[in-house]
Amino acid sequence: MIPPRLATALLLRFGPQNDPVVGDLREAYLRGKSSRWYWSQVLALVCSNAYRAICPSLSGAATAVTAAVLVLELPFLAHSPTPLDPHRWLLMAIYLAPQALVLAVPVGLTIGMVGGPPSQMPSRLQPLMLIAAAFGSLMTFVMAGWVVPAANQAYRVTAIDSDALRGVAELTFGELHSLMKTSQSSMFAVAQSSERWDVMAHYYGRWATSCAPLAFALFGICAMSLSRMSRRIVAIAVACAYLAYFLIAPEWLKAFPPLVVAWAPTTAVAVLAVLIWQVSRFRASAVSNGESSPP
Amino acid sequence: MRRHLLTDFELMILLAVLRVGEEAYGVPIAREIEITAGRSVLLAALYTALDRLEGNGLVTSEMGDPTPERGGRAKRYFKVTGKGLKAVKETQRALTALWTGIPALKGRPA
Repeated sequence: MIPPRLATALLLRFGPQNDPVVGDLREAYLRGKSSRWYWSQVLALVCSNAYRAICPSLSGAATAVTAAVLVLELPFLAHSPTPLDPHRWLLMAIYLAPQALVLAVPVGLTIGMVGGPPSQMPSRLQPLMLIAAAFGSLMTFVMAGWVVPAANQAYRVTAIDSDALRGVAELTFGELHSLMKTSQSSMFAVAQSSERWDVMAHYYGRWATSCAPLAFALFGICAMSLSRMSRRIVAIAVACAYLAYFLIAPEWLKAFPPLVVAWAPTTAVAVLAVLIWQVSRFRASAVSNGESSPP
Repeated sequence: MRRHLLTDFELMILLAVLRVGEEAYGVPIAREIEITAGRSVLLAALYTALDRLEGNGLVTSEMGDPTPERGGRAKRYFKVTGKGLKAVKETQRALTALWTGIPALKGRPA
């Protein structure tokens, strides 16, 4: 009787590097435990191993996410159109949170991961990170497409204390998609004072933001090949540049096509990841050539 | 000195290790808890707790020889240290002290 092969492969790939527990599982299975029991044990071991690897980075990541949310929220809260009482201020901060979180979470998690000690993220776990990032991208797509517009509209209503017409940032993904084909006048009827450029930039921007978790995960994995100090500096610089880009007034960017403006930050992170990977490969091959050449 | 009181799972593990004796490795420890406490055990949780107990000096572990039955993997045998035994007794004393004088708990255990 052989234990489920796929489960064993998962265990050996992503489980703890702890021989006894692998033997224990096999022995218990051979003594009559079910395949379902075996699978549940393997999944628990994989999750526990991933948690142990991630756990030391969580406090750094939480700090970075909080800092990023504050950086993204405070300019909006500071320029509120009406005098603020604490209750309304809190409500507005809550309504702004989804918009800030879709940008802050991938940035913060990357800083947490990259800032940790070298042994914290074994290379065996990198595929798991990419799977988690893909799930994060899916969640971001839903957030950016439907949750953020609703929260933005609630923020506007709270800020001016009466019903407000929606702008382009308050339209759902589906509404933006259908507006892409309409005329300027019908666009105005749906999204107040919005031009075609705004609609297109927001539409493409939501796709790009949804891909950001994957780009940041790729960046984090590639950055792990750098020394601890270098990767910390690079990660913080990238995070600051990425967040600063979203604080630039859109009027300054209108000289460029909306597709470029929307995809620029995510693409830059992914390109930087590939560059770091290439440099690391080049350095590694140079070192191995140096070692193999005769003195 | 601060008394080391164990969690219920830690206490179960230490008692299971003591009951199993010389052959205390993952499978028999888990089986002992399952039989005596009627509680299914995740090996991930068991090893996490055992690592923590070892870190606190309450158990020690040593590797056995690899066996074909286990796919060539070795067993990791655990022993309760003197400090671990003391922690078990202290926890038992604390629990017994909490037990006494509660009318609803008088009589035979269910």
